[in-house]
Amino acid sequence: MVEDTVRNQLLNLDKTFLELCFACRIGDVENADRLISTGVNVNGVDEFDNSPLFLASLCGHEEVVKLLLRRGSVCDRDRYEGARCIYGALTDSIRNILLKYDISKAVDIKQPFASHLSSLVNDGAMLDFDFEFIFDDDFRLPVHKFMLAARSSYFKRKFNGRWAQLKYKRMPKSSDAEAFSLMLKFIYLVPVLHELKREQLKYISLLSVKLGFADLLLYLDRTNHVSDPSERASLMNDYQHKFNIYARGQLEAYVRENIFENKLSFSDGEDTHLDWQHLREQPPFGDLVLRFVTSEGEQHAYVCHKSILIRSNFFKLMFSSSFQEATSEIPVISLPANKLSVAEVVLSYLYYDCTDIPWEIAIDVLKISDFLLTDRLKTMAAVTITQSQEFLTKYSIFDVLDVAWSCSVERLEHYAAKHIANDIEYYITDPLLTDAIMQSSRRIKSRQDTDTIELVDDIRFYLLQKYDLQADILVLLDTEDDIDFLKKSGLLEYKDDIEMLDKLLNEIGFDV
Amino acid sequence: MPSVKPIVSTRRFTRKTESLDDYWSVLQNGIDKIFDDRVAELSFEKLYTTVYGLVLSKNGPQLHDRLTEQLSTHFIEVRKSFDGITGADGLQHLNVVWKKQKIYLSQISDVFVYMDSVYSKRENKPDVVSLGSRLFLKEVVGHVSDMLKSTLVNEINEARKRGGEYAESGVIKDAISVLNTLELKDGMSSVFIMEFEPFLLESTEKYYKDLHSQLTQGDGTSHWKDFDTLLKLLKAEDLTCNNIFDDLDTISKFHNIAEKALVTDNIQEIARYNVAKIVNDDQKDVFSKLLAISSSQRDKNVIFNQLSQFIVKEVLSIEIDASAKKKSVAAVAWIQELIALRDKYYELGSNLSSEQAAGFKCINEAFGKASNQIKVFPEFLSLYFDNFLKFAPKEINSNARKCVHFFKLFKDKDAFEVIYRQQLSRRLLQQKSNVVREQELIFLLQEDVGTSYTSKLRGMLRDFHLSTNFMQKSGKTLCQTRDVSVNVLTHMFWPLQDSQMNKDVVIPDSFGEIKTGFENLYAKTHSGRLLDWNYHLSTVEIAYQFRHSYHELSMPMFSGVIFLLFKNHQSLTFDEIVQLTNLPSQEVRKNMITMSVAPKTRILQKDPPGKSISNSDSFSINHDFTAPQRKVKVLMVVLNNKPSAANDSTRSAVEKKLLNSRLAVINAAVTRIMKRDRKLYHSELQEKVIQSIPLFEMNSNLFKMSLEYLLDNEYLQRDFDNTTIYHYLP
Repeated sequence: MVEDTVRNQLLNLDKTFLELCFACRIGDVENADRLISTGVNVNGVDEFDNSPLFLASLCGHEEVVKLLLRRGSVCDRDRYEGARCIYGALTDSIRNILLKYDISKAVDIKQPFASHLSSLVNDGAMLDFDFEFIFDDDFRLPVHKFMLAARSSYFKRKFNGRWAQLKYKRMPKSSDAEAFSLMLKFIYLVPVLHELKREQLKYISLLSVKLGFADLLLYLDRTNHVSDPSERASLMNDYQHKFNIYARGQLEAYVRENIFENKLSFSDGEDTHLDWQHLREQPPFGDLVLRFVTSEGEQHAYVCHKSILIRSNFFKLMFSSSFQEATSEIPVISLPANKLSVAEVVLSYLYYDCTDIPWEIAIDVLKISDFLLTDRLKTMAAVTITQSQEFLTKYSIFDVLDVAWSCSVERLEHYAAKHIANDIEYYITDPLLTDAIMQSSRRIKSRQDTDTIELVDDIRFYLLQKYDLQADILVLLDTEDDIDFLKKSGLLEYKDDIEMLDKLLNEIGFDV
Repeated sequence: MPSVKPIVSTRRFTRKTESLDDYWSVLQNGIDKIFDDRVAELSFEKLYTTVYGLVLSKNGPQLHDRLTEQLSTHFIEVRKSFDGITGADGLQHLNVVWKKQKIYLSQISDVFVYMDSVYSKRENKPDVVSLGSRLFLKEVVGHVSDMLKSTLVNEINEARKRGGEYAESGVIKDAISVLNTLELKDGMSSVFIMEFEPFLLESTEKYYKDLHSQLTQGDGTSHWKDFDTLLKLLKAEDLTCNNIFDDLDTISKFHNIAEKALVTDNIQEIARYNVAKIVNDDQKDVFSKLLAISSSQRDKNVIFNQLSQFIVKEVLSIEIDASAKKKSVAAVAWIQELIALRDKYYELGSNLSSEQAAGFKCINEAFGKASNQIKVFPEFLSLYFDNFLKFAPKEINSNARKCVHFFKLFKDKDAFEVIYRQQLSRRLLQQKSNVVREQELIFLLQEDVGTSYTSKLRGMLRDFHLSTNFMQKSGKTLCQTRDVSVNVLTHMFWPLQDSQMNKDVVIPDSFGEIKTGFENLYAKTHSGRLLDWNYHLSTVEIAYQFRHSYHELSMPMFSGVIFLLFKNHQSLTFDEIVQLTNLPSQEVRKNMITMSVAPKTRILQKDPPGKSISNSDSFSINHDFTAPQRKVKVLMVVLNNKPSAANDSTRSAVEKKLLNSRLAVINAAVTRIMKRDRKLYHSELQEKVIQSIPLFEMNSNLFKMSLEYLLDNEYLQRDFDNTTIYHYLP
């Protein structure tokens, strides 16, 4: 009975998981990253008992293997699944990566948002904090109100109620500052499980009950009965993963309830008279106002947190410099978001790694992430475009090409070239293709390392792929005159396509 | 066909170009404010968005160009602030200015981050910070570099003069680290490495050359070659550099320049002067300091070489005491002085720290070289051992061990072996030494040269040992009335000279019985061996009651044979004795002098008395003989007529023998090598032969003799075309 439930849990046959498995098989690192960010269990198995890690190592995709291990895939060589990955590895270098992986040390942060949160506590000085716990001897633990409120129902109650005006809380004498600090680290998703000392467990348990961390309580209970170090490590790993998933949910809820719901909307010129100061004392206890104007002309503003927004390099530079924004207490920044949903996607990503980007706004997200210098979100948006079935019902392929060039996304360049190649009869007459080729040719001057037109090269490459041909085989087939064979091989159709392309190029005036 | 029908784009690829000038003026204003330290008035957002917009609208190149222009103008302005500033202030000013510009550049870079990460990266253009530092280099440093260079040279020289402790060191260091961060192009070394360092190195060389000539021409003292002075100067240079440079590479470059000008260029003179000084002043512990003046191995080798020459000179100047009565006395004295010398240099060697191994190697080689130049060395060494062993020491003492070490160092080991063997045989047969010590010593000797070298020596000891055992076991049965001890010596091992008189001599019957008795006894246990009796090496002990006292006379065999003649004869003339014994008259004369002339052992009476012996003299037992001890040792008198000639003849005989054996070794080596290589050049062959013979130093004369012999006997053949090539004839 119990085994069945466990198995059903592990047998994670939802669509995202299967997509992840596919990405692992073809070696699409970026898509795999996006899918993992949606919270899929990286240690699950498909109907054939294959884990994503096994698939990636079997198919020889080193980068995917590294990504999976970073994101919490377990490779314990003392267990069947781990050993299978190691024996199945396609190359020695993958095998070495897997062998080097040591589960007892694999307690580092799995998700980018979690690693950002822990870096807030771990990197020494806590920036932009708005609350402090003060212990004996004036030992202070600075925190962010919104973080505590998001993670713990207890703190949420306190901050919404009696502590709303407070800047600090003096802790009762004899409080265990060290254990409390571990608890705060736990809230910020620092992996602290291996740091817990036996004598602190009781206090931590009490705190967990009070603050409402049921998972932590469960872990403390279970770990009591486990002595085998490897099993312990694996348990820790499981739970750290659970904590992250759970915290993600909490952050998501908090962002929805407190940032998106408390959105301010106003008409032109109104904002300048608003007094932002009071915002610090009510949820979401923000220290920054992010405003934007939709394409329909509506003005909105979100109250956000510097400590989270600095995940974007744009904000990081802004606040670590000595410009005006860094010195003003509650800066008001405009976000070049033309839709409410775009702004929401950006914030969800920054707060809790949400990479679920609706295809309709993928281009907008891509552009804004280019502006914000958040490369990962940019990649995610690009992946969304290439993965979406419906995208081209609304957008032209040349829109994709346009954004690919202006934001330098190679993935989209290839996607567009492939798409054009697959439907060359249609596009060959489209003046926009001529335009695009012209544009691509102009880029040569600045690139200089190649003297061909990249777009045309890419299209040629994908034409070959379209008919499943290879460049060296072409030479051989040139001498072949068996018509039936040529038809079957697709060479004739390929030649037709190439001819069309060459004709177009000649018309434009390029010497092929 | 794609499942999705492509739709027509609603967008065009042409984008309206924003007015560059409008946007640029925003940025220009921003940059000006940054330079004006009014950054807090600026909105990052506004500037960033402007840059973003310009780059996105493909205005990247213009933006980059305008920024370049703006920065250049700014730096030209900055340059003016250097006017009129010289000396250390100039360096200080550079540091302050650059520190400020760095902050400005980083702020501008923050604003232009989108241009850097999108446009500059794609187009391989420098990012804002490197662009700024290059322009700073070009517009500011480039124009004041002469001032900076001369200031640096002056200041560094000033620091040197103060032994490295200089108040401005910090400023110099900062200025150099500024220069070290500036580079002209990506991937190029910094301007300091490219331009300033070579200049400074050149000036350093000049500085030290000047210093050197100042010292040499100065007061005529030898100050400039004294290693203490040099060390101080080099140390000051290191301290100066350490206070100024961070890069260890640079520091070592400056050190090397100084070292070359001061030390390496004059190393011969310095080595000669200091080695002599150290050795003469007996300052054994400072030698490592002398070595520390140079980091180059070549210089150290020169110093070691000098030391080696010094040692050889000292060894060769040890005087041989020609006035000593006995050769062994001279030898022992000489060797003892050598040991003292060795101790002295070893103490010097053991005071070296890191170069200890090299030092000992040099010292050992020097001693080896010196001892090879001393002809009597093998003989002296052997004599020293002989003398040492005769005193029946309880153990091999340190001096003897040191001598073993000398043995290892010198080359002509075969000559030593010949002499040593003779002395060993004498010691063993006359039972003058402890066999255990002999064995120990031989064991020590063979450590270096291998067991084949000492096989004969060990064979001698074994013979001696076996004989002693044999006599102990079965000697009792040989003769009840007399003590008999026979040593069976293997002919190969012992330096025996066949002598006709051993076969001719008529021995008394009592001896004859024992002889045949022993031969029978020996044949029982060792069949098929031919025994030759070496009477001239034997001794007899005869007990005789003289008129006044009873004595046990121990004498050489032939003396015993002669003495026993008087058992049956009252008196005999010289000729009669020769007849009766069938010994050569020379031998009889020697024995007669021993017994009738030597004052302490005059057991026979000569008539007429006198010092010389003529054929007609008659002899009888001297019944009046008496001596303080019961045991009397009758020692063979060495005939003194033409003693040196005799000595020389034996020595030349030894040498001749040595020569022959060496020749044989060389012949064998040549044949062996040629058999393997078939065809070799003369010099190649010589090289290989030298390598294959460890026991002596082959000179080319010997080699030529060997080749002549081998060519004559058609082992080898000269090449018809090239006479320096030899072929092996199978």
